[in-house]
Amino acid sequence: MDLIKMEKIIKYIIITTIIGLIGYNAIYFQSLKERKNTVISVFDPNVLAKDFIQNKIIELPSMKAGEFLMSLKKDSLKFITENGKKLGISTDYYFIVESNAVIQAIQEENILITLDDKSAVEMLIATDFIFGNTVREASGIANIGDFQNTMDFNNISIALNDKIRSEIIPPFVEKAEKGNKIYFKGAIKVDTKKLGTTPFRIVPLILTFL
Amino acid sequence: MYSAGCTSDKFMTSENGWNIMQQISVNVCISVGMTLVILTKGIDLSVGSILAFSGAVAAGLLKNGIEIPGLDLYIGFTVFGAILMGIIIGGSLGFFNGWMITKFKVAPFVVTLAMLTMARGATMLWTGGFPITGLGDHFAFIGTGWFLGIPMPVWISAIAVILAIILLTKTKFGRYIYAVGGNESAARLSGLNINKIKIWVYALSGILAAVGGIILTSRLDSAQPNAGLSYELDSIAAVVIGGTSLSGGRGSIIGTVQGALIIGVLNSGLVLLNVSPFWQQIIKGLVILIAVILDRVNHDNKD
Repeated sequence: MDLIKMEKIIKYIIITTIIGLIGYNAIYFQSLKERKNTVISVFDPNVLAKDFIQNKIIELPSMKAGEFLMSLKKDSLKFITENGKKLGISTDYYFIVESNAVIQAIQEENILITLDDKSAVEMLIATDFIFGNTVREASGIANIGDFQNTMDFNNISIALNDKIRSEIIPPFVEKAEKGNKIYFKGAIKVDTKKLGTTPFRIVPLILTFL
Repeated sequence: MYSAGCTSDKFMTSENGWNIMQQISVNVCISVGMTLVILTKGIDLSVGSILAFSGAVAAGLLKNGIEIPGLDLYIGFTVFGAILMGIIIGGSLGFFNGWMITKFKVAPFVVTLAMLTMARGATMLWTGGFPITGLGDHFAFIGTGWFLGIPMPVWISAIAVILAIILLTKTKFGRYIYAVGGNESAARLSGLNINKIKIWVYALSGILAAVGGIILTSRLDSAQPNAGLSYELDSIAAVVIGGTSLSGGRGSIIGTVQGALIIGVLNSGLVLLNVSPFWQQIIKGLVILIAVILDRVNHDNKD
């Protein structure tokens, strides 16, 4: 075998090895059935939202609203990034908080409350504009990575929004009066670019009179 | 720029500087490819659509992979694999542009205009008209991460610029590009394979558009079906402002980077000065006109 042929063979071996290495690091194979078992298939956002509101919100991990606000004052950015949930590359973080509180005023779009603790900090409970996204992100009810397109993911927010607007807020607002002692659990959005903006607005998940 | 610096306290900050650099990185990538094309006396109107399609393909493969039900097989793609496929797609579409232009002697304007429409349609088909989101932190790092104190998009566009400068100034292929644009007949008579050079130039333009698409998709953490709309115009503007002649054969990558910077700074300054978006477009158009007139006056004098 002459030198030129040897060179060609070596060249082909090197090229094949490089392509093989690239391919090995670029793709992987899986059984389709196995794959489908690990990924959410067709789903109904209304069923998901109903199950969440009826069965999951009581046990949903949360922090005391007073503690949340205190921690936010100390080292806000560190606290937020370590304890909050966020979606993708967004700079907004989400939390679930709960506390006892006293109603201070019934406003057009919110109920103004003060926490029933030493801090007596003012917060707002949203009663008109409800953002399902805040609940979806704060609760971790769904992971965007599991969805084929954003429509399905967004529909969860819409379903949550509908449930909160129709089942949680009306029976509470009907009886709410200034001075009432209440217990609330809800979701909060914190925009890291607008830290210090108060009072925080809570999207309610549980609202009960004490 | 002076006015923006004096009026807005946010303009002359390092944060805004990095923001501008990140924003122009996509335009720099596609403008580098556009410079190569314009140097050969061509034009590539399809870069915006190729950018969108390549980004969507990378995002789609990363997110959904390829399913082959007949074989009960799922082919998944790693971040590296998805990016590689996006770049291959961009390069292939650019190659097709070049092949059509040289094989059928069709004007680059027409071929790339057709590709603009086809690639946009393909993007719509691939995405179903919906954004592909949730691409993961590793993929997001390309567009939003920092390395050695510099944003990743800036690193990527800087590498593209350096490679293009080396290609144009230190290689035979670079000299051939200038020769083809300067005088195509003379270049042909000198024995250059004009078709091969043009095809590779359009392929490179496609590859660089794909790189821009991947940066953009990563920055947004989603592949948008309408991403890159009108990007070809910003890219041509950067090349022209940078002093590359639309008649081919004369220009430089550094000039193009300067052009992209001018557009980026102008955009940022006008936004911070609260100038109406309608006026912003008029001002940008005037800047392009002035750049072309100045370039024409300078070169007429030299001639």
